[in-house]
Amino acid sequence: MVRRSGRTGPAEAMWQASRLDYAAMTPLRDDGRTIHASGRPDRGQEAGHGLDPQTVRAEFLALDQTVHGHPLVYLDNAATALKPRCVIEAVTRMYARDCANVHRGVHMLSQRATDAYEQARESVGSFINAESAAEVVFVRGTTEAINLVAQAWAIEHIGPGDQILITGLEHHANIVPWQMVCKQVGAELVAAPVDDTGAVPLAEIQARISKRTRLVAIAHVSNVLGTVLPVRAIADLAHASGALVLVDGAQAVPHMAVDVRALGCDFYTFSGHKLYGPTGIGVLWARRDILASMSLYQGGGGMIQSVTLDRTLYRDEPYRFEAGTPHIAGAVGLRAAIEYVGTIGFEAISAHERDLLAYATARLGEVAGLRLIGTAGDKTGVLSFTIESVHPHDIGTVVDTRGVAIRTGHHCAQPLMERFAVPAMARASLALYNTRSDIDALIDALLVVEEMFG
Amino acid sequence: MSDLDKLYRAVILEHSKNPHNFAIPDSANYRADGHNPLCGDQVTLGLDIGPASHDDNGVEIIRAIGFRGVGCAISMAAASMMTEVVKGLTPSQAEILAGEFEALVKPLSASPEVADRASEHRAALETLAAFAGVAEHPMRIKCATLCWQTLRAALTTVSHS
Repeated sequence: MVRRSGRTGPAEAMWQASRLDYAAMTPLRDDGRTIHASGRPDRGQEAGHGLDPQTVRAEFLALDQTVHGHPLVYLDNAATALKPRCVIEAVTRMYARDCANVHRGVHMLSQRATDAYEQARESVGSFINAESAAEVVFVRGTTEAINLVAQAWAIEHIGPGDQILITGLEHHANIVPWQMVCKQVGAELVAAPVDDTGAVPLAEIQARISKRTRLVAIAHVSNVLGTVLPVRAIADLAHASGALVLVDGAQAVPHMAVDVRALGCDFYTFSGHKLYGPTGIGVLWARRDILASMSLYQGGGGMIQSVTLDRTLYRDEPYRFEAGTPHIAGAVGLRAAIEYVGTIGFEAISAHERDLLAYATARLGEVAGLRLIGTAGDKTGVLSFTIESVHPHDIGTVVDTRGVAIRTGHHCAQPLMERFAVPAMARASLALYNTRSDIDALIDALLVVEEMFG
Repeated sequence: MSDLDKLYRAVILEHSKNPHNFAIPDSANYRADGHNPLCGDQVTLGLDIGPASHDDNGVEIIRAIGFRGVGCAISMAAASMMTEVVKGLTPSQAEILAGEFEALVKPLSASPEVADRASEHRAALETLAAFAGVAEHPMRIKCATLCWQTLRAALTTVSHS
């Protein structure tokens, strides 16, 4: 167990625990395999009576530090979320004990690593209600997942004169790969516009879907505005015209229960690191028949059945898309993150974040000259804003000196900056460990901004 | 002085709110655009470079300079103060000053003790020392240097013409 001493910081204590008292962290079976909770982590469990922020915060070691002499207030969760102890331990465990390659050796460590990696796939499958874990492909992150679909599906299924429909609020990761596809195959990229609240009206989508539309690629939740898109309704429209639907779920999975079958999409993508998991691990989910119809992505070990110098037989999906040694510890860490989120439950998480969003929205209204961008009816805890005559980078720097971490810039969504006619925005984004006092610290820091630049 | 006050010196705040030479001179014969795509800062410089006077022996100087642009307080103040200090310099003197400014805002090498510097631009550097605090904010260095890089780009076209 992690023991905190007065002299060492939490990270040091963590490392000591992983080195010296490692075996005590997780119960082991006789055969050395770890005992994991089974079943769906986030459904069928009573969310309980809500979320206790102090209990939650104790699990996030990174919160226990000061920045420029102030307690850290972390409000950059849409960029990446902090990691709970269990995720750090799960990753450490993979390197400290079960360190082996997967699907290769017959020795015990390799078997443990393989089991842990495949259990992670099962866990992800349950998390998004996939029909089978075989529909889950591990990738580096949302960006790679989208690029995989672009290169292994879109190139083959989209031709000259066809259209790919996106929206005006997409992250660059859901724009650039499609521009590349369009250039390669002679197709056209079409974008449904964003309204003044930051929503994408269904009618704007409908007006742009035709028989020429082969793919509709949309964010589930906007990384800048927090807008939740009506995926199910969009998917129904797309399917009625014979188009497939890809969803960039990077900003959705940390905040709401995602059921890919209920959403009716064909591809769903997300990253581990925004879901309190490790960086470098992400997920592409696709319906199995679609995965089976896709061409190859990267070639190499792990994705083959047999290789001669003349010919290669490939494995079935999902392994066909996972060439090379995968991010084993990342997948295992992602599983730990999914289980962590599951113990709290999305009912409690979203109730907590909704409350904070309402509080933050009201308090930001107190700051003179502040313009909140993204006020759609259905939105998650993302608060992008500008302050009159103050550049967002100056806002970011000033609040940082008060220990408050927010994002400033174009947020990898330059078309959206253009839509709202701003060069950049400041963004505070919420997670399950944030509290009202975090919001108060942000507001206090913004008052310093006002004082300096007002 | 707090870390924040070291970065946003009063003179920087003043220049950012009321930038000097915030127009491209009508007589400008050299221009360059600077863009920092990561943060959206944008600077356009216009320079009038020519002989100091008609009876001059041909030494060319920056006779007038102005800029337009959008960006953070650091980038706008840097551009404003740059236009003040390079006016009257020869292109090669301005190049040297650009190098000295870049050294000033780089981490470790930065020192507000400009008096020790062996520079022919001591007065200019004393003015620019207001930016020494930038060195402690590595993410903001590019804000301070954007205008100077744009100046270098403009001067490159001078040397090629």
